[in-house]
Amino acid sequence: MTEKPDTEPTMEWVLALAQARGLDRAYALYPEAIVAAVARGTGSLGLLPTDFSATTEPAITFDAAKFGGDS
Amino acid sequence: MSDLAYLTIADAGRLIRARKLSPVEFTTALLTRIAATDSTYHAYIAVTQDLAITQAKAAEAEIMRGGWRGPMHGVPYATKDIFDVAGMATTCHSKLRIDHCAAADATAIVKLREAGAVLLGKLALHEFATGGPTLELPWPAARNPWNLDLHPGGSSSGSGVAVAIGTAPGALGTDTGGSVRNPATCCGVVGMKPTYGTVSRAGVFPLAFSLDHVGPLTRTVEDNAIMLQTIAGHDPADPASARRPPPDFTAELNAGVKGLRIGVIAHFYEVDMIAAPEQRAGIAAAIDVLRHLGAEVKPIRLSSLQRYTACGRTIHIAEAFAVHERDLQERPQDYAEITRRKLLPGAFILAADYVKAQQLRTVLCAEFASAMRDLDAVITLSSLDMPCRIDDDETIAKTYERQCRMPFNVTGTPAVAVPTGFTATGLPTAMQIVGRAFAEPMVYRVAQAYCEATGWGERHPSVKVAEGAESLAASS
Repeated sequence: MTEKPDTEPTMEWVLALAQARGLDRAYALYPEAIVAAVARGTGSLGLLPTDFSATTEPAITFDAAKFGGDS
Repeated sequence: MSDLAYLTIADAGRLIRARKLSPVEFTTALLTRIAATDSTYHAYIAVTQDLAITQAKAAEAEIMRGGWRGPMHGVPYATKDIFDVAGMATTCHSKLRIDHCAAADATAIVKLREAGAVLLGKLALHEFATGGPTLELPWPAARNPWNLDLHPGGSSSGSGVAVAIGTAPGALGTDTGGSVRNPATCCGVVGMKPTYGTVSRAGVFPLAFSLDHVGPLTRTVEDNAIMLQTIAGHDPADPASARRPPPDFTAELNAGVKGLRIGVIAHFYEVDMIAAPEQRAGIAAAIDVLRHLGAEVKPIRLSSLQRYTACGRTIHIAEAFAVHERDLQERPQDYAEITRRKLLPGAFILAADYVKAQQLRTVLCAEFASAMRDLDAVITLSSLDMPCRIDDDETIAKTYERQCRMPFNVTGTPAVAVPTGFTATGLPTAMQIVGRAFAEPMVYRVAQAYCEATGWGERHPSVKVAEGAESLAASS
């Protein structure tokens, strides 16, 4: 998992993130939703397996046939 | 008419071919039933009555001339309103799309039209296939056919409801994290998410490109295989479309399960997350049935449900935000609150986390393929919980976190939800049957053997008819 700040995000930080994403209007209308979205988005992946390697090929061109599609 | 409401696609096809059933009569009966029930169940967003009658008349005339196209010729169906139908709005059940007009049919709609099928209308869904049931949208939410106060599952909610109450024998749905299998589970019908790439997504509004699947919902396994056969096949218009001819999905239907090796992913619902006792009882009984039918059933171990789910969710919300970014920036107020809540986190996912989720997906796909080497199919639960009240947003949000469907969007492998019985209060329970990539015939084989042995799909809800429409409606 990518390292995250170990402190709770401040509203200023959340606003800055929202502005950087062009979500100023959404922040003005729904600030609590943006706070929740920051928490959910930045913590989405959870812990990775201990033997996980970031050098694995990404599944950018996902092909189900690579994974046993010989039936 | 009550017979026509629950006539299967397979039986209708045989009767139509033998000229013992008129497509116009069948279509008219279902349109009448929609008119008599939809103010209660809200399965339909738009009924394409004129188009349906025109298509039914054309089918009838062609068949009378000896030109039978196949098992869906003259057979009605309906589609989740996320598929383009030329000249109509693809609303995605959203205020943002009220003024949309599709220029052409989605590929799945084209295939059904070319097969001579009859489009009854467009069905309700969760907004953009990701929101939830809410009063904020321009159309009401579809209701659970077994208890109107409960959630019918989603996001292909109207598809599950229409099929369950006999206002369509089959319906198209889409499935990014379980959206075909969840309404199938809650409504007590059969819902198939085929292998990624089996059915074209061209002309279907996207939710998350690398997880989106198109699949059918029907009342029987045979009907599901027939409908999938009709819509499957390579399509250059979909970059992920599989470059292989579809197999005969009905070929192994009646081969039984004797001697088959079936794995059970019990730790998903017994250890990783604890399922409701009703759902656990349903799959425990199903294991007994499969053993009794001669299958060798044994537990298998995969990574945790949480790991599969986190991988899928990260990809899901990142890709969905890419689709909705501009509208969330410019008109966030036009989304329902529940939809905003699901889409906005995608703005804050780190690029590295998205890439790692795709890398993790590769690892999980390999793990699943390895587990399947010595197995013909696996089973696990679909929903961990029973449907909650339709107005209980908090619990609905929790049920979307507590399900075993996302792992097979991550692996891209075929997974069908089938009923496993009914609770004391009359609600359906369900399990999933999952296979190797492109092994739909085997998945259908196991599903058919199980469903035929148990007969759960033959039970129908007691359908409520609008006041004054009793003479129009079919009995339940």
